Amino acid sequence: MSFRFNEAVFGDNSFNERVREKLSTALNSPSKKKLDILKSGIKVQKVDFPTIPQLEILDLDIITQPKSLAKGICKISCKDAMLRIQTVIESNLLLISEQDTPSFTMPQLINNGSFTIPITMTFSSIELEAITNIFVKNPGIGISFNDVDLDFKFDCSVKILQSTIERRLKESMHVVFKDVLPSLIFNTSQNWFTNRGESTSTIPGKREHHHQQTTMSRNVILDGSDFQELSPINMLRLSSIVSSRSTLSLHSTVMNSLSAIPGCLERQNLYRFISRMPSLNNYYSSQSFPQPKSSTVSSKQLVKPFYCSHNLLPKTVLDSSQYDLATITKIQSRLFDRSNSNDDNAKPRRRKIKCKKTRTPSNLQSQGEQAVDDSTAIETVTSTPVQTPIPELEEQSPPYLKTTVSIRDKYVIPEKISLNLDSKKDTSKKKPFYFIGLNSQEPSNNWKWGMEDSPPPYH
Amino acid sequence: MSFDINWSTLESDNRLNDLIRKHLNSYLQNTQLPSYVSNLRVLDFDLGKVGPAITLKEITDPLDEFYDSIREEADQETEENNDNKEDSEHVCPDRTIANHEGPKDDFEAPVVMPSPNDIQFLLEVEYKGDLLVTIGADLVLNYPVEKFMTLPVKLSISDIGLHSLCIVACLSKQLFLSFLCDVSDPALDDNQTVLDPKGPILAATKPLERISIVRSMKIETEIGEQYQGQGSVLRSVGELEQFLFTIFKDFLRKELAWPSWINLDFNDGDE
Repeated sequence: MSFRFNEAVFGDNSFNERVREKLSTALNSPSKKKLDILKSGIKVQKVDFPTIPQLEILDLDIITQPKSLAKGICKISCKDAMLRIQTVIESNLLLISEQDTPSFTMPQLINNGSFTIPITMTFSSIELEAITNIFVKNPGIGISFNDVDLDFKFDCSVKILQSTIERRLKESMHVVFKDVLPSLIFNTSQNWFTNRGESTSTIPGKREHHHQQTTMSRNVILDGSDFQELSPINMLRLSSIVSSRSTLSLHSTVMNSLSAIPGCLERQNLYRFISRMPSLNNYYSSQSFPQPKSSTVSSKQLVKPFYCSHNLLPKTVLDSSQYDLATITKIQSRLFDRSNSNDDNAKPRRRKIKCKKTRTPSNLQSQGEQAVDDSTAIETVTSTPVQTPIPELEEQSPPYLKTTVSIRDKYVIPEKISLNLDSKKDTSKKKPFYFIGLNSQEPSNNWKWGMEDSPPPYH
Repeated sequence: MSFDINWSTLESDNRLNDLIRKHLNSYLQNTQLPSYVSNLRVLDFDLGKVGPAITLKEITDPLDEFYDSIREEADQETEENNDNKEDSEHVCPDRTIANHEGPKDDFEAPVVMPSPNDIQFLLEVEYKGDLLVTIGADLVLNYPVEKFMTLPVKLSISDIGLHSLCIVACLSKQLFLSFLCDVSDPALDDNQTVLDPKGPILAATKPLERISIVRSMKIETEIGEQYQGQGSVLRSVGELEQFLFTIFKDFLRKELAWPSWINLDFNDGDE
């Protein structure tokens, strides 16, 4: 059993009571069409789970799409459960609903006196074993039962009906597991997700909307009010894109333009575009660095910058000290801006940690509180006295200098990143419509990204 | 390798791993966890036998960005100070700094003057060691009652690989630490190309990331627990491991990668 259940819950009767309440509300929910034969609500009299159910995860899959979170295959088994429900049924077989019956079929003899019988049904020693697929999504939990093995004893207070009901019940059980239970679980979990607080839900307005909708079990995907939220400017742009797409213009295939439509990237120009993207690979591969002839630069490595999916500073550049710190910081800042291009207020996070010199000799404590990876790096440098103009690296750390107390969990500095001149202009002037990142396509940008003049690699 | 790290002394000290583990645990116990996670703890910690290699590449004056940020901070704090003085009590230490430095910066010298004592190191940090951390936690379902169902989860993290340029600057008693960029390293780079349709560049929602910091990391997951000798435990869920790794990388990038940084302030505010 992968999941551990809280045994104390099953110990007292509170859990059974709670399930009983939930089941009653679910069975009597107004969204269900009430059958004519039922003369009262369905009352759940007793629910009992004497043994703890078992839930075991067989497989798990994480999907990083925005709405669905996880998908799992579980095995549920449950023993000795019991359930007793009570309701009142109409047993007058001659009952005619007068408003629905057309006059020409209306019989002469009408006996519409009601004859109701209370009926109690008891399901005991329920044994269930099922393999289920569970999907956890943002608004609720979806579940589907695949391999259901169910067995129960049935007892009905109206003995004459017992065999008929039992047969029918067993026949309709697959509907219960296919339809009733999943929707029940989804609805309850939806309440749970929406009530649980801010942590799961994204937009507060939407949440309330959902909440009202839970009983309706119907979703309106797009209504008139949604159209009002679309900006007319965007619609105009979209329509202009659509119309320019509809022409037979061959402009987009002209070799030296990246795109016929501003802000759009044509698929065939992708490699060319990538080669101009600001990245360390492109920058350092475009420079004619004297490669050490003896080094193992294979032809693959020469092509690599073009394709490389990571932003890396070539080791050879680093070792031969051909890098320029300002260039690297500038590229990295630009990449940061670009990755946050849809959020204008994105700021680099610059946490400030106050360190006080305490006179405790235990250096280990401080290590524990710093990030594990960096502890050595920090250690090395803090050991050099701050005031010394030329650091003596060999010097041992003063045994008492140590550290950390409070982390202020807010952005201490609401900084603007100060880039160099031209990139500053970029941010102020452009209020754009980014695609993958065309904002690096500035004519004022006199950097040369990659092999602008060489043909795309597929030629 | 410019720094000689005497890793073997760390390694031979048996108490050290234990101490770190205990310390991490006491730290975790004091942190506020979301309602669906409980009992987060470090089960095992081992520094490993291989230490990091740190190469000093440059010693220069600190970058202008650091000065700018100090100046902006001072500006902002003096502004806040003037605006609402009554709110300032809970951040008392900063106020005093601002009181000392702010007016001077504002009215006499608008820029924090670079002092000859300021220094910046450019370090090449390389780590391909065998650090091992095992973390345990319980995922809790608080429905229909509190702690109704728990799912024990165990993660063991090992084989961390990183190779980056790191910048460390000391100025006006503050220490700045930031990871600048990754350095190509055949042992860490996978040969994933953009031709791969799932590659990072072609995926329009995910632009080229500027840095990974931790380039490789092995996460082993273990979900569930045997109960009275029954049931199965789910091990090594690849998707989950990948997901966690991505989250971890995103976190590091957000906190530590240029233009973000960590700032350690050694100014003794009250003295």
